[in-house]
Amino acid sequence: MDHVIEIKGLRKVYRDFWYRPKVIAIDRLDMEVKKGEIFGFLGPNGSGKTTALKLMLGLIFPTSGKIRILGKVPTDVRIKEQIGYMPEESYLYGFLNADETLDFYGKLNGIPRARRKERIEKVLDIVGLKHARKRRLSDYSKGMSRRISLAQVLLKDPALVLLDEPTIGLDPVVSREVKDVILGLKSEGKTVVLSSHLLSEVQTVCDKIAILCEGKLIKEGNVDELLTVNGETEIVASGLKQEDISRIKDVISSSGGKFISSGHPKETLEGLFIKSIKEKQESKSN
Amino acid sequence: MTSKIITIAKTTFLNALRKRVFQIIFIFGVIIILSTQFFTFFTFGEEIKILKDVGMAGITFFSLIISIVIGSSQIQSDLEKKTIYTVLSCPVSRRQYLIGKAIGVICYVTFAILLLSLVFYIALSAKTYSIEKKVGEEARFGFATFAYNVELLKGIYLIIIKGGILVSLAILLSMFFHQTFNIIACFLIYIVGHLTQIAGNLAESGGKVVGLVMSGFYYLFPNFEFFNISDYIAVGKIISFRYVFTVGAYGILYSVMLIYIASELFSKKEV
Repeated sequence: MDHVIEIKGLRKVYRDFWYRPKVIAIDRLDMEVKKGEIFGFLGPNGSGKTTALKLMLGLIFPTSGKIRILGKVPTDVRIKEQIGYMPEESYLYGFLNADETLDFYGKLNGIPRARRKERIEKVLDIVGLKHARKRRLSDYSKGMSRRISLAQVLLKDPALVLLDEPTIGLDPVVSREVKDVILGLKSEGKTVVLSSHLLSEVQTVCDKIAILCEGKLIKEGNVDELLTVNGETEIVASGLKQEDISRIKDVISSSGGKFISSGHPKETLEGLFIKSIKEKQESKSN
Repeated sequence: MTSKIITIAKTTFLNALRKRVFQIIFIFGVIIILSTQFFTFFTFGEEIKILKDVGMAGITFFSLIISIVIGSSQIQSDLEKKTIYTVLSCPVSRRQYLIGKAIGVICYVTFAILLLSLVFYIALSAKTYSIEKKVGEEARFGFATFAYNVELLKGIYLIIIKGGILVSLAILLSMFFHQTFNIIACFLIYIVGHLTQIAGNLAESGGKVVGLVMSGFYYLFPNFEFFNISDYIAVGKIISFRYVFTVGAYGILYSVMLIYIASELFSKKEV
């Protein structure tokens, strides 16, 4: 099976009490996600990203159109064994602690006791929550809540992972850790679909994107292809002097090209922040 | 399939047990039952009768509150807090989820009623012991009350069944209403459920249209009067096992029917 997700002519209309159409949340959406891809849903708030994910999970039903997840309809309970879902906020039971929460979801996913125990240890390690495993989730910070939510997804080792705004409200360090986990999933051959309105997040992790606006798909394609500015060439070099740059400018103009700009490449603010924090933590531990 | 229902039921039970508001309601119930120890201004027979009356009424009242409040809150809370998203994204059918929730709440209500009943039994036995001692009879702590405690057990069993109907009703209504309206609707149905006998009589004696409407009321609403045997227990009347079994079966069937309708509606509900 090449396509993990196949959507054709999908439409979702929310209706009011009198069954009159209120909002067209998704309007004739066509898309496909291949196995092993990281697919990003982009769009402003209210563009239909969460609705699309809920339709894929069978939490809501399409008004018209078709959805196939791993070759089956989303309401087929059996496919849920292979799907992990992390909602935009930590929608877990606050009265349970981390161990109880993971045990609960492990049982619901039909994971046998011995494997469940082993997986709980592993995912708590991945999300770094072993120290807080006996604390009730209602006492968790936002970052910890997102981590336990992610642990719940990883627990069943799913083939398809659906993430709704996975890094929203997180500090850059935790956000980076979540992104690393997503990239780790890709290296394990999993398919990841994430919705976000944080463009830099999508750019760094996604292979393919779809931009939604008012429920309509307005752009779709490979991230590299979509972001490549055709007709311009970027050269990055080190150890050049000012006269070398002048000579390069001459070569460009003699070849009929136009020199646009030169300067020192800039690090991203996220990269700088994480580097500074890591340096501080390392100096503290030494 | 069954193991997933049990998992959801266990978590629901734990959730209800850890809620502070219900712990407060429960403690209040215990205080009411224990306060019956201080009824000393009646004659010998009356003291025990009043104690049984107040105790059974207390258990009935608190089971009513707990059944309706927890029954109406469990699914609604999962919908509002969106916990249902993570549960239904697991290989769990909506029917399994709903049945698990219902079983969890019914188990909690049963547990609360049994605990209150235990407190009531101890209070009743202590009172009987003190009275027997006062009048010079040989005090037999606990055993003296055994004869009519079999009747008490029948009454408690029927309160549990009634609680089950109320939980199922609250779960069914949570498919349509938010908690506040659900609680009001359940209380109204509870009152109507005590008047169905009157509707049954009117169905027989009234005109064609009135008869039809009243028959509808009689068969549609649960007849809660069937479960009300406290008055008989208080005066020491014996209730036949046949009656208790028939009414119990009626209550269980009614609850199963409500849960079935709720699960059918829930399978088509968008969350």
